[in-house]
Amino acid sequence: MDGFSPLADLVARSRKPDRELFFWQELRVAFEARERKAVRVAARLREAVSVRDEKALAAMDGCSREQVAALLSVKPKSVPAFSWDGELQVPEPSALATQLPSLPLTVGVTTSRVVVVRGDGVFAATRPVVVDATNNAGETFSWVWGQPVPPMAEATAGKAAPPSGRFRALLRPQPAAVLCHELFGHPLEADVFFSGQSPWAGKLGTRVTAAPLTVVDDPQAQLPGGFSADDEGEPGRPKALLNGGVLAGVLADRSYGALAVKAGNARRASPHHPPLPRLSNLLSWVEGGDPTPPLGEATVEIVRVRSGAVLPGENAAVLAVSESYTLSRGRRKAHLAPFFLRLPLAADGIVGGGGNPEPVAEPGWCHKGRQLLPVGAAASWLLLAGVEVA
Amino acid sequence: MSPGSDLAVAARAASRVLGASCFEVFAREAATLELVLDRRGHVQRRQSRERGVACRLQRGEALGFGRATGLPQEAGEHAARLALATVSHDHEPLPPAAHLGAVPTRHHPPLGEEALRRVFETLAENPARREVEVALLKADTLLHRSEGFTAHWTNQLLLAFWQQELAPGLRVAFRRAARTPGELTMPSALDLVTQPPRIALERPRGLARVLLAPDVAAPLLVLLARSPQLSAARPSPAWDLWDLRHGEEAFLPMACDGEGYPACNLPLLVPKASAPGRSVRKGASSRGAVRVPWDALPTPNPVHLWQRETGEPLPQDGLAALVPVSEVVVEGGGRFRLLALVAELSEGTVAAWGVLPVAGSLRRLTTSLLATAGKVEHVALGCVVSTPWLWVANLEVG
Repeated sequence: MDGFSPLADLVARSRKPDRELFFWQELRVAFEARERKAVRVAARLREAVSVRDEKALAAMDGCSREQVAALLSVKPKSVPAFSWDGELQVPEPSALATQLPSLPLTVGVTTSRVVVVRGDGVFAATRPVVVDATNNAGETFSWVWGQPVPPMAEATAGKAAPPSGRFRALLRPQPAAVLCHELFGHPLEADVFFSGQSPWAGKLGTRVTAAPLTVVDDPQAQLPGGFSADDEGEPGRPKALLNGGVLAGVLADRSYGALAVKAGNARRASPHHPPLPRLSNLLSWVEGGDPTPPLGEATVEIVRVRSGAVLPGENAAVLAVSESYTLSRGRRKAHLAPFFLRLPLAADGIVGGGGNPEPVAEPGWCHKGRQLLPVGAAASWLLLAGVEVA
Repeated sequence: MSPGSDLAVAARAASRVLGASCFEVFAREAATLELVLDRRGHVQRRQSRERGVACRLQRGEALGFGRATGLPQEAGEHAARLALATVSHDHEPLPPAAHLGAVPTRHHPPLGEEALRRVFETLAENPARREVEVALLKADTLLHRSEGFTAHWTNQLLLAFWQQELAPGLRVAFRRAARTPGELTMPSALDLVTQPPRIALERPRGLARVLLAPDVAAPLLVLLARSPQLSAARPSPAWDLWDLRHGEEAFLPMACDGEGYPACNLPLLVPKASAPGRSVRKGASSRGAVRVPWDALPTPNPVHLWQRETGEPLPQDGLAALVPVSEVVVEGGGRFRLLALVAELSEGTVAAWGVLPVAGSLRRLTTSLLATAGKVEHVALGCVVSTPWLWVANLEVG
């Protein structure tokens, strides 16, 4: 960080209080894993800088004095010298490949660092080294380097038709994490929440789930979406979004300060993109919940989903189910074909959940505003009532 | 320094590091200017200059692949060093030098900020449109091989993204592409929605003939173009689907593909008379591979999918999928599934609508196109898709 300290004065002198410089560097090594060996290795180093204020964003690839001078419309001589401390490093592909299952996988390992220079100081952020692996079915799993490698088998689809009418569904941790991401993550991002597009707009402080579900966004968790400081230089701290089933918080960047919402959730894919309020790592559990899922209380067990969304104008969440089973007296019966599961938000909704969140590796990437970012999750099981096939 | 000479600087810097080896340098400089109306109604101007170099280094049967962004010289040197550090097996080899070549490309007159601003203001003045983004992308690309082959071309594309409120709480997204402001097509599906219908469409799951609006058809055409199953089915005669890479109608003309083979338009699903013996592109062929994004290895991806229009009017009655409201989920065996705003048309207007699943298989899509209708509209996805409405039989709806 010290390498960038001289730039703070330069930004302060620009007399634009909201002006900010953002420096970014990313190293990614990719390869294909075949029988625990790395082939088709490739590497990519990207660096860029941007200047931003309330009304404009300008960005350039590279991080030199000349580029900073061009962005600030000053002479290069007036920009003090600055530099990154050392070089970015990632694990050797051959070493990483030996730790992976013997499936054909396309693997990437990414590390990055950022420095935010504002008039009031210089803020550097560290991020975890993230590994992502995609199997032949196109399912992507991600985890933090050094953490246990997750299972990466393909979801299996059956042929049986899903039940008609409303029923109870038991969600395993992966679908539970995707549902919490779509239902309590994106709709509680400040730009969505305050624009009136969120089903939770105007409902902070009210109970929205029958079960006392708690959902926390935690950039300090050892999961792929972590950071020490966000992309505006604000410290990364856990924030409760749902507390015992009651809506408790909103994810915000600094531009929502006037609405008395605490910042610290700004993320951007690179300096070429503007920061947006975004999820980092979403942890969800029911306080005191039973670690053992109540299979006997559900008609369908959802094991894997590909994606989820809150439907516009429908007041419902939807999950694209890829692996599921009907249940009879707590035992798996029919293996179901893929379908869309609809959860009307006005129904009983989430009626039960476990108390033991476990890391979920899939899907580890999140799209918003054409920006793709790594995200993490840890979740337990959830029991849903009043769901139906879309 | 002009962009073209920046790319040459980058290529020379990479060449110096790689020395006398057999190598390829792919350098790209892109300038993007965007005007954005965000969720809060604030207008922001964004400009971005991206410069990158990708190097492939051949050593016997092994190959190294390195990419870097930054100032031309530094990016060239970094990319070359990373290529040296990553030499490994199982990569596709560089094409033989004797096969390399380039075709002439046509340059359109450059658009300026004023043209972009006019498009932005026209789109943003409609209060039903929210989160309007228009972007002008200009890219300059150079491919150089150590044997002496060099190709250079430029592209310009206008992109427009917005959300539109069709009924209270019902917002859908549109993405359009054009070379000039006059070429920007508005979604004709919106012309059918004169007012939100009072009746919610509900129908039992079953097979149906469905009109797919260009915004619904476009992601399915991309899936079709990427599918290895494209060659496995006999296409219905209504298809005339191409991947355009050069000529008058190509939005992103290129001198050569991502490896240096001369650019050519690829017939994907066409009547045999149009392309004897080449009615279907073989996905395994490396010719026609492109870099999506620029720093990826060349792979057989579409650039500008183009389905010929026949000028038939839209059917006045029946089921129509107007806009996708979910991503397309791909399942095993080439099956796809998406949620779309589906309407029951009656005398050319929407009588009832609802969000319903639309599903099928790529094989069925290939064999069951009954006809096309309406004018071509240009949809921006990872590539450009120019398509009219598609009338498809045997899709699963409900």
